[in-house]
Order: sequence, then C-alpha cells, then structure tokens
Amino acid sequence: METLRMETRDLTVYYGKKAGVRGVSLPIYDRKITALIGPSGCGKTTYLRALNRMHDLNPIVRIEGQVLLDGEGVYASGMDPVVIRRRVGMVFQRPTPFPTMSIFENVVAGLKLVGVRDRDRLMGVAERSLKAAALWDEVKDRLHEPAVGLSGGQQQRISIARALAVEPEVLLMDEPTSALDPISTQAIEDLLARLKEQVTIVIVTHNMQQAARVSDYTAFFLNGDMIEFGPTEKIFTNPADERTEAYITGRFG
Amino acid sequence: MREALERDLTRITERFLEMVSLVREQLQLATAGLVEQDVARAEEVVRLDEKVDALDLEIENEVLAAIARHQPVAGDLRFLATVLKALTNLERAGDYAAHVAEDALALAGEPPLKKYIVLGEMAERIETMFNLLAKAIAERDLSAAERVLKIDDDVDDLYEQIVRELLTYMLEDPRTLSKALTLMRVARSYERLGDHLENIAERVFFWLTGRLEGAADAG
Repeated sequence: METLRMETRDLTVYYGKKAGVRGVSLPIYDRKITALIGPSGCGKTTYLRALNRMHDLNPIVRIEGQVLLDGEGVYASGMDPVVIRRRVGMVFQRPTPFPTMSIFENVVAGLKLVGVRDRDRLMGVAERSLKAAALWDEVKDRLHEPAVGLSGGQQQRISIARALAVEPEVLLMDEPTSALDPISTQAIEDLLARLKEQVTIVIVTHNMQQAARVSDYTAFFLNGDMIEFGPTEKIFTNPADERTEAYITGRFG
Repeated sequence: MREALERDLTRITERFLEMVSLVREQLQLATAGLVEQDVARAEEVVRLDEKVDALDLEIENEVLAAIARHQPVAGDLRFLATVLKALTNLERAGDYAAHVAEDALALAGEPPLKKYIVLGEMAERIETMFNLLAKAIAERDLSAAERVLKIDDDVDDLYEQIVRELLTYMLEDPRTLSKALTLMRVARSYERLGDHLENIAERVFFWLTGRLEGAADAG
C-alpha cells in the first residue's frame, strides 16, 4: 500500500493569461520515484517547479488549486517558502556548484544559510550527504578544493549532495542527467535507486528509457494537461491513452 | 528513429507471415499425404520442416536485434513479445504437421480403415485457423483472432468425436487396432496443432488489447 507524501489537486499554473499546466491532480507517493514525461513545452517542468514554490519569484505566474505536502497546503498562508524548499529540494539540469566555494562549502551551503555554524556538525553532514550522493570516496581527500574542478557527473552529484544536506523529504529533479555522459548518467541513475529508500523523488526527464528504468510511477503531460498517470510498468507496456502510446513509441514529440 | 523501428517491425511481420504460410503448407501436404495416400507430398512436409526451423531462428534473431536497437515499449513491445512466444508455438505446430505426415507414410500402401471424413474436417478447420491468424496479424484484426479461438473449440469437439468413432472400430474388430491407434495419434496431432494456433491467437489478442485475460472468454 502506497503512502502519499505530496499531492496536487486540480493544479493550474498561469503564465499571465495562459495556463502552462491545467487542472493536474496527481499523487506523489512516499519513497517512490515519480517520473514526469512529455514533449518540450508540455508543462512538466512548470508543474515540478510549482511543487516547492519556485514560481514565487516570478510575478507573472499565478497558481490555482492545491499542492499538499504531508496533507498541508504548500501555498497556504503562513507557510514559509524557505521552509518548503528545505523540505522539498531541487536539483537542476546543469550542475550548479557555487564557483568560489570548495567541495565542502558547496555541500553545506544550505545549512550555513539557515545558521548552522558548528564545524563538526557541518563536517558530519558533508560526509553523510556525500556518501548518500555516492561521491564521498572520490572527493574525501580534497574536500577543500574548488568544486568547479570536478567532472560534470561529479558536479551534478555535488548538487545532489547539497540538496540532501538539509534532509529534504522530497527531491525534485529537472532533467538531472541531460548534460551528462552515459557513465555519469548511469551513476546518477544508480544513486536514485538508493536514494529512494530515504527520499521521495520526482524527476522530469526527456529520456523515456530513463523514466522506464528508474521510476516507479510515470505521469505523461501533453500541452499542459496530465494525460495519464500510473505504475511505470503499466505505462510502458500497456498505456491506456493512445496519446501516451503515440508519444512513448516515438510517433511524435 | 521511428522509421527504422517501423521498417524492422514490418520486416518481422512479413517473415512471421511467411512462416505461418509455410506451416499451413505443411498441414495441407500432410493431410493430402494422409487422405490421398500421396507419399511424395507427405515426404515434402519433412523437407519443409527444415525451412520452418531455420526461419524460426532467423526471426528470433531479428526480434532480439530490434529490442536491442530500439528498446521498444507499449504496443511495439507487446508485438515483439507476441512474435517471440508465437514462434515457439508455430514451430511446434509444424512439428505436429510432420507427425501427421510420418503417420501418413506409415499408413500409405495399405487399404484405409475408413474414409477420413472427420480428420479431413479437422484439417479444414485448422486451415481456416491459419488463414484467420494471418489476417489477424497482417491487419491487426482482433475479431479474426477471436474467431481462431472459437474454431479451436470445434476442433476439440471433432477430436472427441473421432476418438469415440475409432474406439467403436477397435471394439468391433480387434484386427483394426494398429491402424486405429495410428489414426488416433493423427487426430491427436491435429488437436495439438490447433491448440498451438489457439495459443498464438491468445498472444495476438494480448498484443492488440494489452489484456491477457478475456482472450479465453472469446474462445
């Protein structure tokens, strides 16, 4: 039996007058990987960013409907977006190491931001997060070297370690491997399978085979609508909607 | 990418239909060998069996290559899985046609026990099953697949009928035992052949609908 970690109810995201996402109701199950797939411009990234209030800074965006985290409204008055983003972390398409910071500083940047100064505690968190991101063995001897010296795949795992350092309940990933080579992609995919034991993951991917490989549930988006949601196995062997079938078999998109 | 996959799927479909038509030819030749005591045609069945076996392997390799190259999903994946499963059934169906031919050779040269009316009817129904299967696959025709399942029920009934009939012969005149037992084996071969075609029809049903259950209801 699956437990809900997050949920959207009739979620619509407007850019000005145009809806980028229309009336999407979706369960996000605890410690499962949910993949969002669909052609460019289908609304999957817009949807993802609505889950942790990343649109707040964009004045033309308006949100209707509900986003629930552990049953509480993410957009309810009194909810602090900083707290939300700590509980629902984000990893972007391109690795985002802070260029002037060392590997260690990059990983604990989020904790320092919320006022943690204790050196031992920070070191403990850095080690735990780097281990969780499957990077510890590769960087433990050069924690104080600049993070930008690492390879693309390692930098992306730094971004993941940084997101994990604040112990989020949910990790949102926007095409986390699209800028990586196959070996680094494989490392991240292996990592996702381990991470889901602790964290709920929502991943946007253009790589359909990746969605099929890593996710437990898949949602297919098209033109701002969520067309079909279901167990990944079902979506990739026997989708219910012919538009889903057409997309995943490469007939369009 | 879609075009390359489409080309492979089309080719696999064509080769599989070629195999269906080869095994159907085996059935026709074996039946002619039996009913008309035509030794040459019965022998031809065994020769065709080598062709069928070779085609079986070739198509399997093409299916595996298509899966490796295109990582197909949904209907494409179900189609390739269907072909893989159907290949085994079709190859076995060919073996049963060969068994009929072997028994036809054993029976040739001796006066027949009786006119092979019911066996001929079985063969006729099975030929119809072959034709409907080919149509179901070539035209993605679900109703054709469902009719195959129905006809297999008729084949099973005919099998029961012929077994009772042959038992009567054996009870009335023990001298018919040997021939009657051979004919019983022939009937059994036809019946098994029909079952393999039924299995293929069920897989086609799965390919076209995504459901494994329900195919049985249609039969």
